[in-house]
Amino acid sequence: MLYELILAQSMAAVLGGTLARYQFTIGVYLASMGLGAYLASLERFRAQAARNFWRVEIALAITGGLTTLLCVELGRLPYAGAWAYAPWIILIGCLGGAELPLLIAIAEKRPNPSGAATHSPTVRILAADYAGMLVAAASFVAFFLPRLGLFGTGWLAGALNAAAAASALLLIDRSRAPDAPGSRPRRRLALAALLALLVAGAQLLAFRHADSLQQRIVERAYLASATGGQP
Amino acid sequence: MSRSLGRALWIVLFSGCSLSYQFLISSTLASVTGWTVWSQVAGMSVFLAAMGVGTLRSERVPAERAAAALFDRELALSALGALAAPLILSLYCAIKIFSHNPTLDPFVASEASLRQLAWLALPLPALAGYLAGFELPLLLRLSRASGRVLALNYVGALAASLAFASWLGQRVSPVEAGLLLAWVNALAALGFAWQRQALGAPRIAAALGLLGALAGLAAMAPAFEREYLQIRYSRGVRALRVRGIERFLDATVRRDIRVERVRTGYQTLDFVTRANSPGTEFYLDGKIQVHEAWAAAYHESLVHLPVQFFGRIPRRALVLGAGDGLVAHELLKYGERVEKITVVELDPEMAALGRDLDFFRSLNGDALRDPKVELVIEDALAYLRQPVGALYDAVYIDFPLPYDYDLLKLYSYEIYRLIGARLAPDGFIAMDAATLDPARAVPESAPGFARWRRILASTLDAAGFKQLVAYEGSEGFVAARKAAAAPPAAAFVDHGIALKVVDAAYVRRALAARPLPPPDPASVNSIFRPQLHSLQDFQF
Repeated sequence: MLYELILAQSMAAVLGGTLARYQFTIGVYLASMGLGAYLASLERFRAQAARNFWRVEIALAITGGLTTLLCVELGRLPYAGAWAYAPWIILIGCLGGAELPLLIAIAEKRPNPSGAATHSPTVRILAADYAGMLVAAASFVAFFLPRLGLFGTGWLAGALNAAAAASALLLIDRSRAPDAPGSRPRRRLALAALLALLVAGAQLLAFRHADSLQQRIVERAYLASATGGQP
Repeated sequence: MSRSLGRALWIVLFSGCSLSYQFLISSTLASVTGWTVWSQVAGMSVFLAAMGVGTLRSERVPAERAAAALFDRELALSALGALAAPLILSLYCAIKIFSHNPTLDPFVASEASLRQLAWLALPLPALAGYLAGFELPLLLRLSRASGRVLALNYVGALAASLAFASWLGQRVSPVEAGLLLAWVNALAALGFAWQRQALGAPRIAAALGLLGALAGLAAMAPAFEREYLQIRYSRGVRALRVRGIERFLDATVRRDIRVERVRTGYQTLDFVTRANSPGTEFYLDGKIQVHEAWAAAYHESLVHLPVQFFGRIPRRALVLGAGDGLVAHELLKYGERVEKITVVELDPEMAALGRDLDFFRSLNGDALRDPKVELVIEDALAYLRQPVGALYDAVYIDFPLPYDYDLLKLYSYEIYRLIGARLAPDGFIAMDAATLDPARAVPESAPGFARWRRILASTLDAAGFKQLVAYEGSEGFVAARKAAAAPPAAAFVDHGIALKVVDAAYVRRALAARPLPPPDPASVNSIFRPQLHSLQDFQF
């Protein structure tokens, strides 16, 4: 949800915030979520739900943090209309849309220990999804955007997302068959964990220097089209 | 084939309508409170939270009753959607009348009444969210293809966003929008239940009854909107002594006020005429823009006072906003000395009205048809980011006051840098700075004003405008130059043009305004990091 809000505001900042722009961003984004949800529910992707969930999350962690930067850089091209941003919107939308079906698939494969007394996993996942959207919507406006800005929020969200992706690795670890050969899957898991750590680390570093980075990016890429680089 | 198409259609329509009700409630709430950001965030948050609760409660519906339960909730949602906007608008009117608050105007208001209104209205998105929370779980239970259901749910949300952003939210009144959505929702519920064979006689009767009621409400909608607008714009002090609503409406509203509303693709224009006060008032999105009585004072202050201060008449001037042509009109008074005026206006219909509508033509002297005036229809920020051509001697900024996040971008470090790039080295800018309450009811030292003045000063300074002149005409204005040259002249030079208010005394009084506070790096407003807390300070 944060990525969607950041994407909409970044595009509005670069292209101008008219109604048509918002319409375009939200429309393509939601349609891509639908596409992602559909693809994720296909059997070939559901079969390896945990592994695909990890891939989706780490991809989101990387792309989410780059969104604002990419929008500003694309904005330098004089003839890049809203359509130039569509591939990026579709990418993030698909990844975001794939989350729910994969989570539901993961939850359904696990045995329900306490029986029928609690809510079904699907319902709990949906409710948690809404709770997440609620927190994101409220905090984006009240806190993230004014305090951290678009760049800072993106990098912080990316770092947190990478950490969350690492939790998916635990799911993969647990869902492995117990008598599978030991060393290769273990090593791949370790490499994946390292990747998650690197992504989180890089984004945190960028987040720490968000102020000066924002200044340089805005100067070079956003204002330069008019100022020609002159202050 | 058509069976699965039908099934897909219901899912899309259900989720589309639910989200649309949320948009509708938020935007209606924003229009009666003036709190745009709060209405969107609080409305969406309450809606989502309630959806979570509804989702969890959906578990209690037994499997064999799933289709019927969904039908019942969709019907309830339709009724709620149809009534939400009228309820909020009526609530506003009731508070205005019964709290004896004749000036309860969303943008000129006493906070307490508006707060009551806002909290009283929140059960609406809560109920809508709760009912909508049942949709997805029940649909998932009724279908084996869960991926398809989720995907179609998103498509519905997509359709809602597109429809709302482009048409439902702008061209159609909120009451009509709610009725239309409710009709579509109720019909979809009928189609859905019929396909699932979950319809019995009582449910059919309920649905038909609802559709009939909606048609009845639709017939009353225009009259409702008319009365609402009259109450909204009324300032009937003497009516407070009158007992009873009917007599209040008769005495104050129906006889004294006429409101004409025009909806463009971008904004809502209201032309208000009052029996007991001269001049037509022109409102943009509920906020006063031009009052015939003081239009001259405002525009003369904006345009001519900086000319006096800095001692130069701009040969080439850029005007941002002001599609009503009034700023251009003032500049054209200088005759030969002004060579070119470029007006950048976002809304093509506003510009067309500025050029063709008698109300504006009589005020702006047909300025928009003058050969020296170049009218550019574009978003100001997008226009400014294009490569710079010839420089301008003056840039006049006549944007709406920053009532929401989008407008706040027009008061940002980035836009002032871009404006500076188009300004000649000794050129100046002038803007309505919202540094004073026009009604003089709120003191300058109030915390909201103090914060905004600091933000403005910091942002302008960071963008390279080192000489800031805060001055007071009919409002608070700011004129600025990049280099701190000579201080503004307090003398009046007669350039031989017709002025209604500006003279030597006026110039001296204008410069007696309190200066802006010193700049502070933490108060800079950037597009990429907006000073959003300042938005709630705009209650004037």
